[in-house]
Amino acid sequence: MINSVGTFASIWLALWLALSALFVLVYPLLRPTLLNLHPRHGSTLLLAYWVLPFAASLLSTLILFMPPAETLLVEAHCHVDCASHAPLIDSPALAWVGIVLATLVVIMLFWRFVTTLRRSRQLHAQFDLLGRRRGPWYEMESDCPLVFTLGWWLPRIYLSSGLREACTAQDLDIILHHERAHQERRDNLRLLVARLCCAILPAPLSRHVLADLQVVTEQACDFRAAERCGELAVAETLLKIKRLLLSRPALLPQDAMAFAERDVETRIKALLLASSRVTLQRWQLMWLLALGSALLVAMIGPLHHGSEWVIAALGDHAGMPH
Amino acid sequence: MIKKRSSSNMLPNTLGELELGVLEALWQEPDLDAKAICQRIPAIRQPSLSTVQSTLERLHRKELVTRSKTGHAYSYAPKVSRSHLLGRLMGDIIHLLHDGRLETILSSFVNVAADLDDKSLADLEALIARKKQEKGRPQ
Repeated sequence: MINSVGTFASIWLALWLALSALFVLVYPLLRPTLLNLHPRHGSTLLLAYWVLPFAASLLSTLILFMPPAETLLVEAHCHVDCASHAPLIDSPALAWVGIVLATLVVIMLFWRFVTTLRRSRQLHAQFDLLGRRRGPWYEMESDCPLVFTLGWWLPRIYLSSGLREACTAQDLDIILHHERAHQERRDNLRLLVARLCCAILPAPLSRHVLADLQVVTEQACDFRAAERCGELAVAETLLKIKRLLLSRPALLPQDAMAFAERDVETRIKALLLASSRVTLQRWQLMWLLALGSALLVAMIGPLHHGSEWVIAALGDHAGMPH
Repeated sequence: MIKKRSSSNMLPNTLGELELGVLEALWQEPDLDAKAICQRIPAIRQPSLSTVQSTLERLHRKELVTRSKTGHAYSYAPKVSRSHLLGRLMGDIIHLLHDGRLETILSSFVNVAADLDDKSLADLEALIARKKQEKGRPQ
């Protein structure tokens, strides 16, 4: 039992790490194409791209350990006997290493989730008590010109009275359409999923990935608002609100971080060049999904043999019989 | 040495639900004692008198309420207004948004970094104006 669990944990972790490294290497090649898509599709594909190493590693390892699927997908071969089998680490010490590492990763992911959840609930409770409901959004009596969508599953929009007073009816309409798009798309949840799935990457790399995803997500909501109010109007409102924020230097942290830099500029330019974005057809998305599923199924056989080869090599190195 | 904020105290102005409930009662009617505050907190989450007293003690330590002795009991009044507290909370939000620690919790319409100078803003404005002209709309 320990050996099976240890093997499962080791294969999953090693595969997650290997796929993540591969995806990081391939990303610079795919990035221009992904960022040139309509942000509605770009944001979804970008999220799928960074969730894939985690999801594919977990799913393929699960399939590897399911006897019926394993029999179907792995070419028949014999070790001591010719029965259907999953790869197995012989050494309990190696199995324990896999279990401990996987447990640490799961605890880290869980800890990140719980602390973020706690922070989110804390903010929700405060703003719900201090804000006043105005139909689909909450108003907060403050001069600070800020609007945001808070929460994952049922996100809420919070708008300060300072911002509302500084906006025209059209600006407010654009801002609320943008924030409603965040609500409907559950963008905070998407970013959380991406963050957890990229947890295995080094921090600067995962910050870069999340920054790309964040900008494309904002663009998707800008484009949604533009469908109703026009690209130029949304670009003008973005610039106006940015100017408004910059006119209150006391509010702004001065040590700008790279990931947040100039995203308004990128978004405005994207709106002005909206017609150049490539929109994917439904059949193209289905084709991508089919290709992904086929690749997943095709990797089960090589994964089985590769795992057995690595386990044998480790056994030889440790002087274990196999 | 500057102590790094942990996840639990990264929102320095964060208050618990009961602390906010007590403040809400005091904003509606200042100069109340603990018993009167306890009665004004909605029944669904009505705490015991001793819980309210310790909450008031905490709020007093945080300098969010003032108190004066009336007979045997303390009478409390809010030291900060609702909008002042909200302003402080918004300040926290802006700083956390800026350094990326809220990126998976909330999305704001415009990032809060001071990342564009006047020239960049003017360039963007000119770009929008040019696009408007191309579309044949009056400026």
